[in-house]
Amino acid sequence: MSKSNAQTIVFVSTHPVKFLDLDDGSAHQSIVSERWLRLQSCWKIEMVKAYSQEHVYRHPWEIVTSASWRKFSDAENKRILSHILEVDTLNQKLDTKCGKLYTTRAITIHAPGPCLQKFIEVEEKIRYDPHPDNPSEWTVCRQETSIHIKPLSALASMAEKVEQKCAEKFLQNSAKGREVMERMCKYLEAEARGIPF
Amino acid sequence: MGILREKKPSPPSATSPCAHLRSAYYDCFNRWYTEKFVKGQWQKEECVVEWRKYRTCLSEHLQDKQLSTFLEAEDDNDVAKVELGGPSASY
Repeated sequence: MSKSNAQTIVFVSTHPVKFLDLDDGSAHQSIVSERWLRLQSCWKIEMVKAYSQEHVYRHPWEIVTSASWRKFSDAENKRILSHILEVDTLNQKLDTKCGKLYTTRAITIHAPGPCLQKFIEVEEKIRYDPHPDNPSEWTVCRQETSIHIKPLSALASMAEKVEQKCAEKFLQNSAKGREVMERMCKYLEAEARGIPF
Repeated sequence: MGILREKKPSPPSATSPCAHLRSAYYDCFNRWYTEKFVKGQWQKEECVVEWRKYRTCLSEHLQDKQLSTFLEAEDDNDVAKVELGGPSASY
């Protein structure tokens, strides 16, 4: 794990929070979180492959989004998410009028081999919403991952293989991410009930 | 030996010197998010001291130019706030 193959991703997230619609007295939860993961040092994009995944957490939105912030700092999670080296917050802003939270986080990951290096750009968007069928208890997570390959025709076929590898890696890592999220949610729920975990 | 191989320490990164300030900030942020923000108590900013200390450290150690622009972006906001806040605050 050398420093040279560590890459930093900029991670921007917006958290418009649950708000009350006073007209009919019912509570709504709006868009909850969007994140963009973008690799730095990339330029033009030509080939794009997109993968989307949807996952339902049987936990309330408040717990799931709390878990999403904490998942990188817990010691046990760090062991599972070993490809993540550092998570730094570069920027944070709270809109105290409408309850929107903006943060920019830089995630430094360990990228083995040619994967993610120089000619590939990855963009990831994650959004958490209260599940329409059970808004107070379930949360739906939609994740979109786009992998772009820079237009270097000589490298195109090689790039496609690399891209395939990257896609596999991403799917593996998002499964790990879900495992960590589940653990974190259970921990937070136990904590909220005052039961030691 | 397998056991030894698994115990590889992470390489130090540019922001490692800020690790303790970072964890102080994250501890505060996570607590605030779970206990206040999601419950609708977002009218007051918290963890300001922790954030400032951590951010000052980042600005000293972050070498990556592209990432530094995100730190600078916030400086601009602060300046704008001070300029806008000046006249109205004096009254």
